[in-house]
Formats: sequence, structure tokens, C-alpha cells
Amino acid sequence: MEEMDPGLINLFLAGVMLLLAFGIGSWIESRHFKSIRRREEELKRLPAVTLERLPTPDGWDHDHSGLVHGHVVVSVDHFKRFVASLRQLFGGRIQAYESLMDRGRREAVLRLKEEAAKQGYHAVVNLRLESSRLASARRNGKGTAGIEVFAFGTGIKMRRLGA
Amino acid sequence: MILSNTEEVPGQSISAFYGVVSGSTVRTKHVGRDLMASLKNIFGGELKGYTELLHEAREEAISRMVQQAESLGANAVVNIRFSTSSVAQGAAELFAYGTAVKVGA
Amino acid sequence: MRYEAKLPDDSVNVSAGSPLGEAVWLLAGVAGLVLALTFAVALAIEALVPFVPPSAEVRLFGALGEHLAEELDAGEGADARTARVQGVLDRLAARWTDSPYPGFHARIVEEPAPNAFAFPGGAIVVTSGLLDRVENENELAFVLAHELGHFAGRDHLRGIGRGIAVGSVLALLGIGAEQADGLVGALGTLSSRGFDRRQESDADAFGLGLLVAEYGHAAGVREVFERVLVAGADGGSGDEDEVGSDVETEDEDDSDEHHDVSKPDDASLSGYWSTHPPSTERTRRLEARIAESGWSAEGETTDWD
Repeated sequence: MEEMDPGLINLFLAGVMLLLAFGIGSWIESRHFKSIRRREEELKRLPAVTLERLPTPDGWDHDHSGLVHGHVVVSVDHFKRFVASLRQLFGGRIQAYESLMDRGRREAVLRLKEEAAKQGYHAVVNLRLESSRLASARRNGKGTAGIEVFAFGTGIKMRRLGA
Repeated sequence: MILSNTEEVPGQSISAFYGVVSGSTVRTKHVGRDLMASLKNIFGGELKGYTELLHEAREEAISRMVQQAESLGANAVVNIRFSTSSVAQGAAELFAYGTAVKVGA
Repeated sequence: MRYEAKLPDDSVNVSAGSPLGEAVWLLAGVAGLVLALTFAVALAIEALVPFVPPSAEVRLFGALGEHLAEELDAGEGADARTARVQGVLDRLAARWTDSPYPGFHARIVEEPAPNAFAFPGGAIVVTSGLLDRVENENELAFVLAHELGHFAGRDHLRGIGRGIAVGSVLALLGIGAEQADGLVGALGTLSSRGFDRRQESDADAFGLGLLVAEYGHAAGVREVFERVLVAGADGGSGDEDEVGSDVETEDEDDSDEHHDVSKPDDASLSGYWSTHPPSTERTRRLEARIAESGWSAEGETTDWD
């Protein structure tokens, strides 16, 4: 019987786990980005701005307004977390977390816009974005389990004058 | 590119607006810097290594936001906000966002 | 003021590059860093160890070694066996004329895997499995003499030092590398293996000298490697393979005991993963030494059991 060093076995299993996480994680991520792009295109007509007010177009009047918000919790895959933790030894940009934040933020804004569209708003003003780290994947407080991004703003609805 | 955190660019009128543009980067410091900072922490005072790092990162976030604005054909970003959040232990995200607009004619 | 419905360039907020490529570069960097750091610290410790006088070592660790030895489960009828092992050990120690240590203490631990350990302060622990396997006193004597060789080389101190070195490098890098711990740990251990293997060869040579001085010949040396330490060689239970590898993993962390003499022929794995040089290589080296010194490899053996 060939004797396998338990250290080698562990290293091998860890490698397999990482590659698996990389494959599946990348697939999920690219699918998410595809969906984000498609929905962004669909909701392009509904502006969301950080400005406090937008001028009312000629022939229109302000109807009513209300708070709209959207949020999402996203996390990175095991492989990206591993690469990020290595990156933390050397410093610099962490691409893995950049794409995580990008995903989360765009998804939150999309959900906000979807809610605004559902409620019949024509635009969202004073848009604000908040993000926070949720519970950690590891007990020692390092690593990232999930990021919550919260987007909120005021939806405004206009009505045609004389309508 | 005109950048401002006011509602409009003073003295100029906005002719068109495009929506929100944003720039972000996630940065981490290397172990050596961590070590120096933890030593410095004993006595307090400015942690120069971290100041530098965050400055650099924030500049990058702004420049990425500007790149987005340029891709839209805007010439100003107004009502800019900044936020910094911790993505993981020892990794910070610097984020800048604002409304891309066209000022002047 | 009109609204231009356009989407901005969405690629600017994620740095370019493939994560797989980044992972490869980072791993290479970590490997280099860990190897360099542990190597540097281990070298520093190698240089410092000779300056620690044995009297200080006995004062510092004597109590610890005794304590550890008392904690060990010696099994039934251990007292008589311990006395016999102690007798052999005393005769060998007497042959080490310029020994800086005041004395050595033998202990037995109930454990089927054949092995022996040197503890700081002068304690030598042998497993009951080793005693069951030896067929004559000479074989046991060589194992004990090998452990004395570790005291001569101060290897148990080096073991502690390297444990501290690897531990501190890990703690240092661990600041950011929570996921990489396992990997970094493996690398750290790997980088200290080279030292271990040289120490084993030195301890072998020292032990051979004591053995010949005591018995007048080197009988038993070959048997130690060919039969006594080979896992499962005497038809023992099949799980001894596993026990053997457990011993191996354990000495990655338990830096305070150390230097098991046993490491079965493990040619299926790359040699670097084993603390001890492959047994065949050790036997070859010892036989060359026996021939060189004009000693006899065979001779009258003293009975055991």
C-alpha cells in the first residue's frame, strides 16, 4: 500500500476545492453580470441622480414623491477570497472584492429602479448608497462572508398638465 | 472635467444630465506597513503609510468615476459623495459617486 | 435640461487581469517569502544554539522533560523494562566521555509505533512498540545512541527554535493570510526539513560511534533500519502505516519533543517530505562509515527479552 503524506492529501483537497470554487463562482458571477447589463439597458429610461431636484419639463407638473430603496447581499467565492487573502500580504488592489462591490452596487441600484418603475415614478433623486460587511466567513473575523449594499432615494412622479 | 459636491456648477447652467456615475477601488496594505502601523499605534499620531494608501486609493476612485463620466460625454460631475467601507479585515473600499452632467451650451 | 439615457462604461471599476494568473503569482510570492524567512530565522537559531550551555538547558527544561515523561502512559510492567533501558542508556552515556550533560533518563510510552524521542533536559522516551520489535540489545542501543547524538548536536533545542521560527513567521504573515494558513504552514515546515535531515545523519554517525565503543562492533545497525523501524514489517496490524504517518505530522507542531528516530522507507513520496533521510540512504552512509573506520558490521549480540 502506498503511504500518502496527510499534508499532501490536505494540500491536494484544498487545491481541488479552490478550482471547483473558481469554476462555479466565475460562472455564477458572469451570469449575474449578464443579467445586470440586460436590466440596466431596460431601465435606462428611468434616471437616478444624486441631485436633490430635477427641473420639471415643460408641459408637466409635479404629482407626488416617495422613498424608494433596494438592497442586496452578495459574497465572493472561496477561490477569490483565497486570492484576496494572499493579496493582503503584498498590498495593492483586490480585484476580487472590486468586482464584488461592483456587482452589489449595480444590483442594489437596479432593485431600487425596479421598485421605482413598479410604483410609477419617473425619476429618482437624491440617490444614496451605503455598504456594510456582514458576518465573517471565519471565526477570527477575517475574510468576508457577505457585503450588503443599500441604495435609497426619492422617487418623483409627474403628470401632464391639463391631464 | 468639472467636479463639485454642490447641486450645480456655480455660474454655469446644466444643459443635460446622464445619471449616476461611480468609481471604486478596494485596496489593502502589505504586511510590512501593517507592522509599522501597529508599532506607531502604541504612541498614536499620523499613520503616514495608511494616509498615503487611502489618498492614492481615493484618487483612483475619483479617476474611475471621471472615466465613466467621460464615456457618457459629460463634462462635469456634480453632487459628488464619498464613502469608505471595510470589505474584509484590512481591506478598504474607497467609493465616489455623483451625477454626470453637461454644463454650458 | 434634458435627460440623456446612456449607460456609462461599466468596466472601469474592476481592475483588469485574470484571477487565475494573479493566484499563481501570489502563491509563488508567498512561497518565496515563507521559505526565505524561515530559512533566515532557522539559520540564526543554528548559530545561537551552541552558545546555550547544557547546564542552562537542564535548569530550564529539566523539570519540563520530567513532567512530560510522567504524563506518558508507560503501560503495564514498565518499571522493570524502564530499568533495563536505563541500564543500556547509562552504559552508552558513560562512553560519551565529554558529555556536558549531568545524566540522561529513559522513559517508556505505551504506543505501538516504533519510535524514540529526545526531550530537552536529558529525557529519552522510547515507545513500547520499539521495545517489542528489537531482537537484541544492540538494536535498542543503536536507537538510544542515536538519540544521544541529538543531545550532542543540541538538536532538540534547534527543534524548539525552529518551531518558534516557523510559528512567528506564520503569525507575521497570518495578519493577512487567513485562508493561506494551511499552505503557509506546509511551506514553513518544508523549509525546515532540510535541517532535520542533516541532523539525523549527524545523530546516526554519533550513535554509531557510541555503539562501537560499547560493543566493539556495529551489529544491529542494519537491522534497525531494515526491520525495527519499518512499519508493519513484522506482520503487525495494518493500521501501523497510518500511525507512522501520524508521527510524521505531529512533529510539525510539537516542536518541544522531537527527533523521532523512526521513519519508514517512504520512497513513494518525494524525499523532501520526510524528516529523516530515506532509510536506505542512511544505511548506506552508515555502512560506508563502518567500512572506513575498519569496524566490524557483525558480532556477538546481547540478548533482549
